[in-house]
Amino acid sequence: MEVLFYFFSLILIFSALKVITSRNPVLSALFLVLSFFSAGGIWLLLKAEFLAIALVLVYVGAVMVLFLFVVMMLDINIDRLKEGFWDYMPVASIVAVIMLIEMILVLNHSYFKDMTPKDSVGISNTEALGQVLYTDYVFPFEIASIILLVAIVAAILLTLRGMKTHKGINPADQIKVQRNQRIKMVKMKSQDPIRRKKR
Amino acid sequence: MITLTHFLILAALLFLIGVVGIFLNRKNIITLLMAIELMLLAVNINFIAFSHYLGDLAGQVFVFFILTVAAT
Repeated sequence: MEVLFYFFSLILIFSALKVITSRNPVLSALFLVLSFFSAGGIWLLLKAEFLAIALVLVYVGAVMVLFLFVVMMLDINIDRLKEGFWDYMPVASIVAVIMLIEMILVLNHSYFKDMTPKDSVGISNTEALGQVLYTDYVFPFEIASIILLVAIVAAILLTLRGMKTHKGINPADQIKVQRNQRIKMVKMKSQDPIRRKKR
Repeated sequence: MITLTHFLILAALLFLIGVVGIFLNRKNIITLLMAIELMLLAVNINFIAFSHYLGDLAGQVFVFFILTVAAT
């Protein structure tokens, strides 16, 4: 268990560092996939099988692949983005080191060290999670489904912009209209019917 | 012997990497989003570690909801 823990942790930390420092967004998305995968391994060590498999299947398989699609479709100018990349590194490292010291001061307490894992009763993790999720947490579960529905509706509404399904007039186009789009000036010789009669 | 402290410090390191990533990639919103994902992952590791060591499934249910909301 120790070997596996350190193995997955090293890969996780290394890939997380590569996510934030690599020059290419596609590369950082791929390293994010690797870090999620090794986090799934760590969750397996903690006997959370259902969540580990859900992380790999749903998060890596669907969300991150969509993310990769988006990153690859956008045409990003990397050199311009990386201007002044390390400017904030001193501030960031000060913040990070202070937070690390604080967290180690808290986490190094014997309360956490003496804790022993409590094994659940004979049922599997998925079964136990399902029993809790559909009884005690059924209301938050429904709310989560409504959040997903709202996200779908919002995404469709945002991308429907260009479609024209009716003959209504766009007020913005009406306001933007210029004079030469409505009036056409025609040059022609003036005609005087009276003078023509005198000749 | 791997204690709870090991998992908590791993999650703390991951969270700090996320914080530094937000500082460094402030011009690139996509990488910023990825740094936030790293911080969420650290929080999830904390939840699952405590859930395992306390023998309480509520932490894993919470991770389930975090994954749902982060996926939207």
